[in-house]
Amino acid sequence: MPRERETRLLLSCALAVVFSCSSNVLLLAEEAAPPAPLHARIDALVGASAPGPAAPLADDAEFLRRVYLDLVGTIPDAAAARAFLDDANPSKRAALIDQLLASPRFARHMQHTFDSMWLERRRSTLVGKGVAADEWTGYLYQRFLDNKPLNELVREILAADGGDPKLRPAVKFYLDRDAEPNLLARDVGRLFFGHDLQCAQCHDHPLVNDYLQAEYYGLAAFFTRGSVFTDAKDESKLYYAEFAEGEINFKSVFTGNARDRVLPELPDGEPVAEPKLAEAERYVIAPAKDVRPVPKYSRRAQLASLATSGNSAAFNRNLANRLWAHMLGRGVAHPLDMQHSGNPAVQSDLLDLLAAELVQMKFDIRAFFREVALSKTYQRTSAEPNQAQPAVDPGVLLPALATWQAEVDRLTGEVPKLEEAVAAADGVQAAAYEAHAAALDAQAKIEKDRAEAKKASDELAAALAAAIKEVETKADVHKTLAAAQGPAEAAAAKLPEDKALAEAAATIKTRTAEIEQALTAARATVGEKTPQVQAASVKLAEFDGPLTAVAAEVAKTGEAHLAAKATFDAASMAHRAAKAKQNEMMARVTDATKFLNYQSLLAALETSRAAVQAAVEQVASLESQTATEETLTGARTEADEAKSRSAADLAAAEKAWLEIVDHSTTRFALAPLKPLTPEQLTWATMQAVGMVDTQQQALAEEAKKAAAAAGEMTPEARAAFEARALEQLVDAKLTGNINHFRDLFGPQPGQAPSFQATVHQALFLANGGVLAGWVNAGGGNLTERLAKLEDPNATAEELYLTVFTRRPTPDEAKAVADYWQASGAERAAAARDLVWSLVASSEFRFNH
Amino acid sequence: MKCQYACGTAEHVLERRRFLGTIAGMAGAATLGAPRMVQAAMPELVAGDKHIIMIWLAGGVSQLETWDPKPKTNTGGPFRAIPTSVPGMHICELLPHTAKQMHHLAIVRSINTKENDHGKGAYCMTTGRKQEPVAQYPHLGAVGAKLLAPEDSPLPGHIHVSAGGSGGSGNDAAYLGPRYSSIVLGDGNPPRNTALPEGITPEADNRRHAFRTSVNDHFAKRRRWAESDAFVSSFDQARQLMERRDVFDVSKEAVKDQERYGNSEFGKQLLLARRLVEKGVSCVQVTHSNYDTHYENFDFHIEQLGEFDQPFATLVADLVERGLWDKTLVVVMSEFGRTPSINQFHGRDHWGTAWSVALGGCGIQRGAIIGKTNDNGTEVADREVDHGHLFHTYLSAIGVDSSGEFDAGGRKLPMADPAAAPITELLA
Repeated sequence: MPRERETRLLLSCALAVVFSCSSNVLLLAEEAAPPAPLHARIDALVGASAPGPAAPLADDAEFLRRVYLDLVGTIPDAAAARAFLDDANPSKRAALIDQLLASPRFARHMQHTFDSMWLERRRSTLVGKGVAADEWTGYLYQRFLDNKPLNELVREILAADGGDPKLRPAVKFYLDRDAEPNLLARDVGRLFFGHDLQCAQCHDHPLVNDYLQAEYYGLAAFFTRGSVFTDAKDESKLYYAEFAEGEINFKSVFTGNARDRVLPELPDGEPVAEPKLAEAERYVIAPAKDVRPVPKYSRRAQLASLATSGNSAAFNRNLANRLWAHMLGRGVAHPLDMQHSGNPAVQSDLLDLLAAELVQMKFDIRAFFREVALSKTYQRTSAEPNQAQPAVDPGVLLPALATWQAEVDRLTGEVPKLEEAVAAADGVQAAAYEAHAAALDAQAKIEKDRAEAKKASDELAAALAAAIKEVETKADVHKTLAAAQGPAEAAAAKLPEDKALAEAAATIKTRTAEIEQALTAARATVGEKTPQVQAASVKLAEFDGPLTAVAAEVAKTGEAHLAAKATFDAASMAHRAAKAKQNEMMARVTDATKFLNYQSLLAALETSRAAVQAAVEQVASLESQTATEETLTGARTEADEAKSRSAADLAAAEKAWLEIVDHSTTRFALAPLKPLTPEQLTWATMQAVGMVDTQQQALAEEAKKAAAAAGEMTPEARAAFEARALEQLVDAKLTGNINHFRDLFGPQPGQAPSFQATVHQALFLANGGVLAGWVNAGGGNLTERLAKLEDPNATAEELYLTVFTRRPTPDEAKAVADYWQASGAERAAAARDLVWSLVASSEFRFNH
Repeated sequence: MKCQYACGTAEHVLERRRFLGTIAGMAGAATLGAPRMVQAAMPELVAGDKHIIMIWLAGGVSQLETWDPKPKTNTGGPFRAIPTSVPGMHICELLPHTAKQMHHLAIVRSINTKENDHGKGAYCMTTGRKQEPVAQYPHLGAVGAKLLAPEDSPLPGHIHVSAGGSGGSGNDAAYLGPRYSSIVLGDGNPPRNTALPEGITPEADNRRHAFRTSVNDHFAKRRRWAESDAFVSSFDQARQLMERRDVFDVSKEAVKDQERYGNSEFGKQLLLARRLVEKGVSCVQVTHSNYDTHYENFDFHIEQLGEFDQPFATLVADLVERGLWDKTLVVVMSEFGRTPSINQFHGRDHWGTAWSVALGGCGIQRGAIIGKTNDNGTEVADREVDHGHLFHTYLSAIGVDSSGEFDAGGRKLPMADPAAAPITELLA
């Protein structure tokens, strides 16, 4: 590491270096077949858009602490720090990055990182129900240990319903939000797409934001059919249940635009064409009392697969942006959940590159972090550069500025045209929706009329059938009677004396005549009904034509609406992209101008200081020459004026400088301070005071045994197994300590992370029993180790290496020695207070 | 909600670095000013020396047995209405001492929050918003602390005084952040961690803090940010707070005063509230429990209000006498009132439909009555208001434009429900 050269590098040179580097890389990329590695392309892009120079690379100690905290969430022990700092191997940084990525602590740190990212420290109201916290964190840990591609992990979470025992923990994301559709729409929008659509829920201002409202409801439509389902046999067991029906609708309070049926749609995506299933075919498991319904077509599963397919630009960008922010302290688009054209990415080509590469790497988080960590952009120092140095070389910046300004001008001309296109497409889209809605209404009307006609026809048919039945019955009786009549009369004729027989024959005759009459009547009814039934059937058939026609119309208008929606979406995306780019380039021009102005402010300051010098000398010389009072007063007034001019110049330069430093940070030319998360703070503190070491020593034997018991394996595999086992044992012992820090140092539940320093944090660190107990000498901890050391220099080195991951400066070593001296015989107390002082300092509180 | 994103990034970027002062150190004859500090935190107003005391009658006090009696009606119950120090204003006979202080106070009798659930009702009344899944809103005390507590004050801006309680933090500040979360003072104990840890003498403490300061100074030479400065100064504030630990010790009040507030837990808590406000704490909530009288409403109110009445009247009189009334907003509220109809157990149930809140001090009109209910109290008859109007009114009373916004990490959030407005006729 050519550290001396780096630190001696003047800023003006740094700029030239950055620019020449980047152009070399670009050249390489054009000439050679394999593209440059991602880290080089990151540096090239950042350099090419930089309005000012970048800070030099961090020294080894700064890099070491940072990369530990970012990748494994804690700091190294003194031995590891010493070994790294003393290693002369020029590629030791890359080696360290690989070592940390392979460490089981990486999986642990990712578990913490994504747990707080996705659950946002919500306190589940489901005490003793749903998914327990440790099941969820265990699940995340295992996924990261297995290096599960991130998109697949998200897919499991978004598709979860709790039914699959292996994936059950993943449903916590839904359950802890009570499956509430609005909350899910908002949080899925924020966390997985980088869009906070919350304000779009109620209304938004005309046109430009109207699509945000449609977008919000498009996302909410995925969740509107879901709810929490409680297992009737075990009430602690909750699931996410989804129905096959249920639509969401909205109405804009501004434009009056309304949609009765909002199709599910990803942010920046196309509406999802959904299968139309007949009522009987909608469920794998139909809803019933105490039965969790499972639809054949699940919107939730649809969302999970569309979002994570690699084809959702918004999803990919969000994930890349969040991973980048994890390493660099802020997103390329920032805040992380407010990506929109009014708040564009600071550098959209960088975000595009990161997103594309993340997909290319198949969402491999280790591969992605590796490249980011290897970049110079990541490895820059957070130490503020010397502001007295000229900041930029106008010869380099001016041409770049002209190019950027030209881009701004071009976009400024283009944006209004694109806006008009959006307005036009919106009109077409609204009309197409109306036409489609009208066709659907017409279809419903015809279906209703036909149903009525069908009912009438069915009634007639039933009456006819009854009449026919009547005829058949009567005919049968008549046939029997008629057959009996002849023989009966013959019998009566043969026995004329038998009156009863004669009467019977007469009765049969009468009955036959009667039934014949009835039969005739029934036949007449059949004759009458038959044409009626035919007519009704013809009438019913008349609906076939219109029905086919209206179905075609529905299909046609539906397609037309989708097409119009697609055109509108394309237009609005183009508009948004141009608007975002315009804002991005305008900001870049503004920042670059500030760098240029700073040069002239510094020059003006120098001039005005020279004037002060001259005026003061003039006064002094006049005083020694015993000049007249009048001359002297004049000179003094002039000197005072020069001083106030110079003071104003200084104030202006200071203000400009602050802005420049700030822009350098937001543009990744200078590393920021990142406050440690509660988890990082807990683990780094436990590492610093020696608790982790103590536990590692105590549990090493057990880990070894576990590895031995795991059967035959190669020595490498055994070492890895042992390392994993040890990490898990130590974590199980110590992870509870995070609770002491989480509430005090973390954001409020459900809130995005933000930094606040509070009195209660300071009181906790200063007087709380937790840290006080940890820094008391005992159990071979750092305090005890230090108290045993005789040489004050060795003490200072051990202290600084262990807590700050760097060696002390001579002044610091002397200060430690003085503290030692002053404390007399109270070695242990002095050691305790020194350890505490470093742990409670800002250098420890921040990742820098 | 107004759709205000962090538009125009440049304007929203806080200048997080502080000036290191090396130009000032450059050779030059001019005598130059000290390094300029950049305003780091949100540059929102501090409304001046104002305070809020919120007295929370947990469980839901009956409006009929307090501020809106309806004697001789089918809902009125057994108690009489008595005249107060405001001609024409009557309150329930269970509040004889308070009745003599009503010329300082005002009553809002026409509250309809449409909320009959303890949790949701409490959320409405303490945050001024309906509880909704997609957003969390800060407690009145957190909002008050944010608006009123000076940035460098060592004292917590938001304190809950309660019987029992853990001495922990309330997590009720939502997007305003943990800084404005309530500190719970239970059992008369001071805030947590305000005593030196065992084994550390004051001298050793001074020594270690001095060393910590030198370590911080070294870091700040090249890395001085608003965040690191805030972290460093939080320790200074913590040490100042430790020096002022007796602020939380009510036994430091004159014995005569302790006697005037009575021996009850609640009396001590109100005296502590007075002490905290006098010492500069911005927002104090005192909880008196429990008014959830589904059974034997009348007996319970005799007992509970018997505890409440005298200390409360004493507090009002004291704040007036000590010149604190004009800068202290005092609100007596619950999550809801109680049903006019009396159930078979002589109880009254949850009732958010037509009930009352009493308040006074700061910019609140003295002796005012806002709105009214019908003859037997079953509905609001005039000037219906809800939690949103009340919340706007509290903010207006402490001199804040309640249509203003907070800036939470670049996101603009209205301080109070934009769909509601202050009850202007209640403001002096």
